[in-house]
Amino acid sequence: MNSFKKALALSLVAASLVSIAYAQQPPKTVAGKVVAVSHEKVQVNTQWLDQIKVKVESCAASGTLEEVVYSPATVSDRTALGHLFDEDLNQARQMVMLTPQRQINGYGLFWVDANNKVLRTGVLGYDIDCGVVPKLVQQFQ
Amino acid sequence: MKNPQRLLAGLLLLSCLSATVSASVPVWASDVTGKVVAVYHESVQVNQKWLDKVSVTIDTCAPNQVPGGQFATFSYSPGAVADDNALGFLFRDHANAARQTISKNQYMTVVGGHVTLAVNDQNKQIQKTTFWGHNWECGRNVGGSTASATGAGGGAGYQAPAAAPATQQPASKPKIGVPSLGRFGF
Repeated sequence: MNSFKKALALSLVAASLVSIAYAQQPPKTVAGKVVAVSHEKVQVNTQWLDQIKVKVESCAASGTLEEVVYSPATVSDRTALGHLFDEDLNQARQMVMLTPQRQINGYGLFWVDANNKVLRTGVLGYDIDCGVVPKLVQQFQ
Repeated sequence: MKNPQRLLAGLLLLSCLSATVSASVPVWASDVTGKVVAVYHESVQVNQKWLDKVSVTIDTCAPNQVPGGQFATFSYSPGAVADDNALGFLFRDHANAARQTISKNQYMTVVGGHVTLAVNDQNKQIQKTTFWGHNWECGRNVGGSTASATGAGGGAGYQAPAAAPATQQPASKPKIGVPSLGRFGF
């Protein structure tokens, strides 16, 4: 019985250490051309909130889509989430063309936690593509 | 040394005066001009309140004068991003400035999205934002007009704290054949 208690205690300690390490993971970045923005209503603590998700064509793995998600809140003119929804949508609408003239626009750079929840949004401008992203990330280090 | 008490009182008064003067010295702001390349939003906690923090990265006109080179990032004081306040407008207008295209070829020159930011030298927070219009690059017009903005209004380079008044930085392409004009070219 004693050994069982010891094993249980050890496993609890190990589990808590793992969860602490998981929680303390530094934010990672997701970057790419913004290709889609979605909105849906979600229920959080009996309250209906707006959830915004953004899909990017990933810089890390060409040809694949990655999705980041904002914390549920209210989309309105008066809130940051409303403005971010607008700006991400504007990014998605931006044209990318390589020939005959190089036109690069509409990339996004997101700092996210382990669950891909957005911590910081970067709206990237004209001619700023995957190659510039490391320099921009460096600005915050 | 006849009256050490008087000397001590004098020294005390002098130190008080110098402390007062140093406390009232204004914080210099440096002008940084360049093309907006990115604008960021994040939520930050200030005094147990969640606020919106907006930062801007610009591709500077004077990379040799900016710590770190080419790109420089500055922030606004945290506030609320909304449609009816300045931070909301600034966030949107910086995003629009970032998206402005630049096209230079033998047929036409189109430049947009340049800003001049007056930045507090101590905390790197933006104190004043100037959005430049069509074909204004690094404080001068590149679209055929002879106008140029020099001096405090059109300062294009990052100034060291000692250099208080903003001045025009050397432009990447020297203007040829244009007579020297007054401030703002009028």
